[in-house]
Formats: sequence, C-alpha cells, structure tokens
Amino acid sequence: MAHQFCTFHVGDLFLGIEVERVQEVLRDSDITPVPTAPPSVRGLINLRGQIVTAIDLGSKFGKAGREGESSTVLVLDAGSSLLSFVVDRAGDVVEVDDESFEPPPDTLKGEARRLIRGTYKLQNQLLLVLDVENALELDADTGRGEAS
Amino acid sequence: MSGMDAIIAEFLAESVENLDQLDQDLVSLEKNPDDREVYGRIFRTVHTIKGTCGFLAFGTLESVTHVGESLFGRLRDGEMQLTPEITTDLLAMIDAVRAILGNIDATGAEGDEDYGALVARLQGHDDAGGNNPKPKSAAKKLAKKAAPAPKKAAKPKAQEKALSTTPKRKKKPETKKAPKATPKTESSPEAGPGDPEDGYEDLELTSAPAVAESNIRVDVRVLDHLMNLVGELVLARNQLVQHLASSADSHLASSSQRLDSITSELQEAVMRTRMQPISSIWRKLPRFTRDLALSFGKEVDFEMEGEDTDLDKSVIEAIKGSLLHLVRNSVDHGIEAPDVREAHGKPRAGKLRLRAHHEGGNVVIEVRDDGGGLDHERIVARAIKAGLVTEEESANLSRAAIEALIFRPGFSTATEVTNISGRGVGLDVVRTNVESMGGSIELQSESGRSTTFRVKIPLTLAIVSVLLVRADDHRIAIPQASVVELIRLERDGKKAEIEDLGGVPVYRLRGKLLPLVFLDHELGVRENASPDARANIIVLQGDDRQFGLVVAGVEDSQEIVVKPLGRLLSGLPFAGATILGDGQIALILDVFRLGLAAGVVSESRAHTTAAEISSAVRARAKSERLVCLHGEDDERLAVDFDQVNRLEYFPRSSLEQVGNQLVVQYGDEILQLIELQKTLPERRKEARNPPAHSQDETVPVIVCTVNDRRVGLVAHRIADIIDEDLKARRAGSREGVRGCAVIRDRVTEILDLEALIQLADPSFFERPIDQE
Repeated sequence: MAHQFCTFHVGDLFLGIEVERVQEVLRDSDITPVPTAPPSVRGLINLRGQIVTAIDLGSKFGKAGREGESSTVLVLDAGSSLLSFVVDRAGDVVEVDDESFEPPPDTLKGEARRLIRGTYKLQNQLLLVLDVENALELDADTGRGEAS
Repeated sequence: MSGMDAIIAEFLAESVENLDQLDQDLVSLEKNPDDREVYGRIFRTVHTIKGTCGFLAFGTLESVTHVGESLFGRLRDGEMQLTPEITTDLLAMIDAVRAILGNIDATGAEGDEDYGALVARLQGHDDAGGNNPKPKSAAKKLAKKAAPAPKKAAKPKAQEKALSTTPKRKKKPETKKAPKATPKTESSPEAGPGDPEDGYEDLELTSAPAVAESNIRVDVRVLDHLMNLVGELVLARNQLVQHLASSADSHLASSSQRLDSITSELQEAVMRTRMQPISSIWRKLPRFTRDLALSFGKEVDFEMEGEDTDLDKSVIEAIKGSLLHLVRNSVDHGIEAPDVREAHGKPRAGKLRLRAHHEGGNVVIEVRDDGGGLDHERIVARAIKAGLVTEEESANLSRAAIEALIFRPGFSTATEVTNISGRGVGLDVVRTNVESMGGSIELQSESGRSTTFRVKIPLTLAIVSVLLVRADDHRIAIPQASVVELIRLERDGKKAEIEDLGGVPVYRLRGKLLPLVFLDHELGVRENASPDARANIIVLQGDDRQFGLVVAGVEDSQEIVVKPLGRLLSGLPFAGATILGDGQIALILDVFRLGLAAGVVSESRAHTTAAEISSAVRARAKSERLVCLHGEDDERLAVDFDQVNRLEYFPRSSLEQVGNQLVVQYGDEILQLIELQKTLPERRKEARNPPAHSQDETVPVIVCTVNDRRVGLVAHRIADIIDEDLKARRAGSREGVRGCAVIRDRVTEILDLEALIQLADPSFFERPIDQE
C-alpha cells in the first residue's frame, strides 16, 4: 500500500502529514498574535471569515520561534473546527510505501517522541510522520501528557 | 392576527408537518411491522393532534383522531397486528385529518363532510382487536351526529374515494392474506407518503393548508453560515467601495453603489431571518399568570406592551425560562393577597405589566408589579439564615447591597416552599442566564408600591456592539454592555491622577476610589513607558464591581460578528474574536475573566461563602478586610482576609515535626505550618520559646492560600476580623511585612504572606503542588 504525504520543513526536520488531512496550504498569511496564549499558539488566521487557531510547530519541537518571518500555514480539518500548523516551508506531496515505514527508535526521547509517529525511509532522507492528535494537544507544553 | 388565530395557525403548521411524517411512518411500518418505536411516534402525533383540536373545539377532527389514536395504541402495545386493510383506513384517516385541516385553514371551520363511515370502519378494526367501550361511544356519537345531515361531501374527492372503497373492503374484512388485492395506497412504499392515484394529488392541490406552504423550517446552522458569508460579503464590499472611491469611472462607481446598497439590504434580510417577535414567548404568559394567580389565591391583571419587539431566535430561546421565572416571582412574591391589598387601599387585583422595547442595540424587557416592593428586613433575615451574610455585616449593608442579595445563590424569601417558587434556585439562575448572554438585570423597588425587574439583553447573540481599544499592536474589542463610562485623563503638568494605594493603582472617580487594571500589563504585551499611552480609563462593570481599565488608545465603537475561539484558547481572558472591516482579527475581551485574573473581581460564582459578599460590600465601602492576630508580645499583625481560607484550632498534640518543618494533618492533606514568631525577623531570638512548647491546649492556625498553595500560619491568638478604612499607612519596616496601618488605634503590621513564606521556607513555591 502506498500513501501520500504532504511534506514540510520545521527547522532541520522533514515532516509529513497524510495528504487527505490537509485542507489547504496558505503562504504569507497574516497571523494575529493572541496575548496570554500558550507559546505554541502563534495566533489566529482569518480564513475567509472563519477564525483558525495557528499552532507553531517550531515551538512544539523546541525550535526557537522566528516571529515576523513569513510563514506557511497548513490548514487541517480537525472535526468540529479548523486548526492549522505554522511551518517553515511546505514541501511536495510524496508517495511512500508501507514497507519503508519504521516506528521511531527507542532512543528518541522527550517531546519529539510524542510528536512523531514513525518514519518513512525515503531515498535520500527520512520523512517523519507527525502525530497530528498529539501536536494539537496543548497539554504537551506543560509536560503533563503521557509518553506514548 | 388575534391570539386565537395565531394558535390555530401554529397548530395547522405543526399538524401538517406531523402528518407528512405520519404518512412516511405508516408506509415504513408496512415494511417493518414490528417497529414499536414507530408506532409510539405515530401514536404521539395523533394524540397531539387530538389533544389540541379538543382544546380548540374541533369536534369532528377530534372524533376522527380519537378512534385512530385508540387503534394506534393497540398496535403499539402489540394487541393487534397491522394489516393492509388497517393501514389503508389509517391512511384514509390521515387524509381526512388533512382535509379537515385544509378546511380550517381556508374557512376557519371544519367543514361539514361526514366521516362517520370512516370512523365506524376504524372502530371496527379497533373492536376486532379487543374491547374498548370508550371509542365506540365516540363513534356512535359521531355517527349519530352525521346521520341527520347526510350531505353529500361537496369537494374533496379524496374523501369520496376513501368512502367509496369501503364496500369493496367490507366484503373481505378478515382476509389478512390479500396484500396485492388491497388498494394502491399502501402497495407502493417507494412512492413515498400517500399515493398520488388515490386522490392525494387533488388534495394537495386543492386543500393543503396554505400556512404550511408559506413556512419552512431551516436549520439554524444554515442561517449561521449564511450570516457568516454575508459578513464576508460586507467586508469585501467595504474594500471595493473604498478602492473605487478614487476611481474616475462613473459606470464602475454606479455599479459599486448598487452593490453597496444591495449588500446592506441583504445583510439586513439575513439578519431578519433569525428574528422573531417576542410575542412568540409572551403568548403563553397570560394563561400562565392566570393559573399561577389562581393557585396562589391572588388576583392579577396581566398587561403586555411591545409584543412585536423583534429578537434573535437564539436570544428568545435563551430568555424564555428567565422570563417565566420573573413572572412567577412577581405573582408569588410581588403581588400581595387581595385582602392585604385592600387593607392597603389598593385594588384587589394586582397589576402585572410586561413591557418590551428596543434601546440601542439592546432589547429591554420589564416585568413590573404593583405589589409590596422588596421587604428589606425579611431579605436580610433570610440572607442571614441562608448564611449569605453574618449579622454584623448585615447592619452595614446598603439598600443596593440588600437588593443585590436576592440574586444570590441559595436565597429565597418564600416562607413556605411552594411547588412553583421558593426552591432556593431562582433569581440567581436568572441573573447568570441573562449575564451569560451579555445582558444585565436591574431591580427597582418602591416600598409598598412596586417592584420592577429590568432585563436588558442584546438583540442577537451573534452581533455585539464593542469598543475597540489598542494595546501595543493588538486591537481588543470590549463589549459595550460592560462599559460604564470612558475617562480621558487630563494632563496639566501634574503627575498622573492615578494614585497608589498600597501598591494598587487607583483613580478617584467622583470621590470614590476605582481600582485600576492596565490592559497592556494584563495581556503581557510590551508596556509603553510614555505616560500619554495610558491616557484613557474605561470604567467596566465586572460582575457586581466596577474597575477601571487603562488603555493606550480608544479607537472606535463598532458592531461586530462574534466568532468563537477554538478550544485551544479557551482558558484566556477572551470571549471570542471577530474580523474587522479591514480583514484584521480583533480579540473580544472577557471583562469578567480579566477582572478575575487581575484580582479586582472576586470569583463570586464559584463559591458562596460569606467572604465574598462581604468583600463586595467592602468594595463599596472602600475599606479593607483583615484578620487581626496578636503576637506573643501583644504586637498586632494582620492578614488580608481574601487570602484566608479558614481559621482553625488544632490540638497541640497533633502538630508534628517533619525534618525542619512543622506540619499537621488537615483533611487528607499535610498542611505545612509557619510559625510567625519564629519566622519574622527580629523575633528570631525569641524563638527559644516556640509556641509548640507553650501551655495552651490548642494552637490557632490561619489556613491561607498563597499562589494556589495552602499553608497554615501559627499565631498566638486570633483576635478579630475587621473592616477598616486604613489610615496612616506606611511601608513595612521588616521583611515579610507589607506595610503598617493604624487599626483600632494600634499600629498593626500587615503581613506579606508570600514574602513571609519565602523567609520561612525558601523552596516552598518550587515544590510541585501534588507533593504537598
């Protein structure tokens, strides 16, 4: 079985989300910051009249936030509402084979372990599969989430 | 449209809808004859129609539905099996009902068709399934009634047909195995409700009630979506119009003007789809009041004014219960018994008046009775009994404070608990309900003359009028409903008029002190050092207290569409967000939560201790409430009352030493104790004689909460709780002391708990909470 993944970069990480979960990719969208919000919430986006919370994946992975930098946003349909991830750069949609999948190595620790479901071995690099549910969980910031 | 007509129209619309459902249900039953749930639903529908038409005095309709109901009852209970014959007759009954409803809609009367045969047939089925004398008599009655007037059914072919099929079926009344032979009515379930060939089409064309045709039910979500889209259209229009204003092309300009006006009209029209006159809930009130008055033995004249005031559907739904409650409250507590009224020289019948009108973007609903007004003494007595205030506190309560008591949870003045009011829940629920909609409730009472409840609610929950302010780069919207007034600080060389009271910024507003909150500080955005940036104070009403919000700039007042924030942002002091005319997002401030976060509003909804009513009282009196302690050398100390949870006396033997900490078992937690004598600097040398060694049997401990952590202060003696206008304040002279003040003619040190705890146990705040 082959799957399609929408890929993107956060810092030096090459990540992917199942393509059917991504509703759209926005470039250079205006993000309105929300004071007092947790650091992983970059702000709000006006998506054709709907207000979408933008989660900063960089801060989730512990990469320093680059405020003010032009950002790419992946909009996801999270059931009842729309949510979005702010990433550094969007990549292509790639097709991967189930056989090339491997769970994350046991040595992967900490927050990254929670956020990465596994990896597909591509020819010249590794594609990390983002655990969307865990990434949408704000509790992870306070370290209260259980290790999977 | 008179009241009766409105009820009939509603009945028609509802019944026609139900009948369509009934058709479908019956047809599906044929496929699936054992579905009890569907029987139950049909039974309920028929029952409802029967009940309502009985009430509206439509006799023919009632007798037709009555026998149908009884038949369905049997089917539902499994006493009989559904046969195609029965189905046919039941469908004929539904057609008959529809025809009668059509007549009622067209002429207001049931028409003079004779349904005796149908009823008899249905009755026959019913009797075959068991004996039930009641419907029989109904059928007879109808048959009798029909007999002397054997008029030929004039127009509805459906009835003629339904009747004409009768003999055919009578020939084989018991043939249960003749499904194919029975008429088409039930033979083609896929044809949907009713069979067009059976005169159904005619029926629909000629006599389907018009009321049902002119109304459709629409999912509110569809309307919300429409509303959203129209909002976007308006924004796009704004941008376009702005852009074209500089254009020289006159054609373009005139098109844009047209677009402009059409968009505005569209917006209004879409908004109107959600509007309903308030009479849709008021209609029930006269009857409700009458019944109430009877059960209380009172006489009440009911008056309504402004029934056609329009309100958003969601608001109407939300306010319904509260309104009923206020009416109930007025009849029960407001209006006196007739004899009492007479003795006071009033007419025996009390007057209850409901009034609604628009006021700005709000709707004001008044419920006014000419009863005895509020009995302050009884309220206070009741509040003391309910533990809402103590007796000492009650002595100082202002009129407004006493009246505010009736909105508190746990309050009820009814001396007897009636089945209608006086259950201890009530006005507080009304207030919470109204406030959760962004509204407010006020009370005016004239002793012996009247009581008026004034409910002010926004026209719609979706659109709010806000004041836009600026905090650094953020634009924040403050609901106008919370804004009391705006103050612009004048600067004439003097330093700011913002004064400092023990570290708390305050402003003198007409001689009263207003606690201040700095918006930029609360939001954690860059604080602007320039004094001009804090030139505006917005006086806000948060719960029952006012406070001032200091903002950098006030921009504009706007009507905005509220959009919810996702669950990820639920804990913040924002009620939602909105999209402004330029496409930018502005956050809507939750005034109550901001006040809570800043500590100027107490969390009164969360608990109902005596503490916070007194703190509300305290806020009015502008004094501070302190717990006074006496030290061993009779020195006076005080702790801010708001930080104190409880005062406890522990047996000395229960105190335990763990490591270098003194602890005591407190409920199911271990409470760390801090000995004031040991901890305060300069007193350390006296610690040779710690309280643990003194002679008293028990140790007074003040249980406090500091930064969500509990700690107990061991004092020598707990003296008093005082409300005091603090005079002659000065800064503290030693660590752990916030300041000094003169209390009851003695210089008293007011403790700074946080610093004190740091002194005693520097790592106290670093330990995770759950380990304590």
